[in-house]
Amino acid sequence: MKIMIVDDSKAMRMIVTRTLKMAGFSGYETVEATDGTDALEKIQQESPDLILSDWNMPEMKGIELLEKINELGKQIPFGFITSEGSADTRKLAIDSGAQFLLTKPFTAESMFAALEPFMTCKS
Amino acid sequence: MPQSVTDQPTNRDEQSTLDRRINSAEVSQMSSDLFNAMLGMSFDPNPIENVDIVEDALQSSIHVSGNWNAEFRITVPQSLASQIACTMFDSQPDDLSSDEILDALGEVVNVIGGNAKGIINEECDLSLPCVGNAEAVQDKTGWLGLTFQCENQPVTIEILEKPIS
Repeated sequence: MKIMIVDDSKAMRMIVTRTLKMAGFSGYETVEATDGTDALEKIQQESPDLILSDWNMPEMKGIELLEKINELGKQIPFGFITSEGSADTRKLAIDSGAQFLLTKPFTAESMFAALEPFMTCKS
Repeated sequence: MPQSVTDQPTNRDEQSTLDRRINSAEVSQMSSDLFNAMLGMSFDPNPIENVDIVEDALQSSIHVSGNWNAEFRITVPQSLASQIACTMFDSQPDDLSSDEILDALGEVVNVIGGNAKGIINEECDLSLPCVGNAEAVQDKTGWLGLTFQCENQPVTIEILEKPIS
């Protein structure tokens, strides 16, 4: 299983990667992208099975990335990991086809709860 | 002579709408969730008094704009900024670049600003974070400032409400 982590912060990409392990998931590999534009390019090359994306990024925001993926007709489970967890943001995310929105700051427990249904390789 | 970041643990202008939108307890909870629950750093949720900006202090800021306008600022001494980055990158201080320290501190204010935006629940946008040398707030109209201790070092969180243009 391949998980794409999309965040303009290198620190947050590392925290997400580390928390995936702490949550007990295994049998996956990760690929990183620094914003929506970078992610769109890498989706073509890497064919990820799950995308975890920040919301607020330069070049292309997470919600625009999700809309582009929808336009391409790709059926890739997509979840937001973002500090913006308002009701409006959550509704927009879900209405646009996101499977979940995990709010930063997160813990291994909250990440497990959000991702568990989409992880085909669990420990 | 260093400038004072906070005159007291909380200081609000009575004409401001800030205290109707977000309170000290919410700021404390957001900060504790970030530093303690997610990063595993020691964090005292009780504000302390009077903190001066030390010469090497770093400050990250982010703006909320729309139906509510405000700036969020996080100020920490360089040593704490480095410690936060070490925790985020799971690295040693000597292995960190200055860009990684700025990135880590930018993510701190991004999380705090994003969480606050959710609490305020107004239609508004969050900017990208900026990080640089610390500056004291001059006009404390519509201002909330709280200083906490993280890893026994001061971290000051300030919210500056701005007029809607």
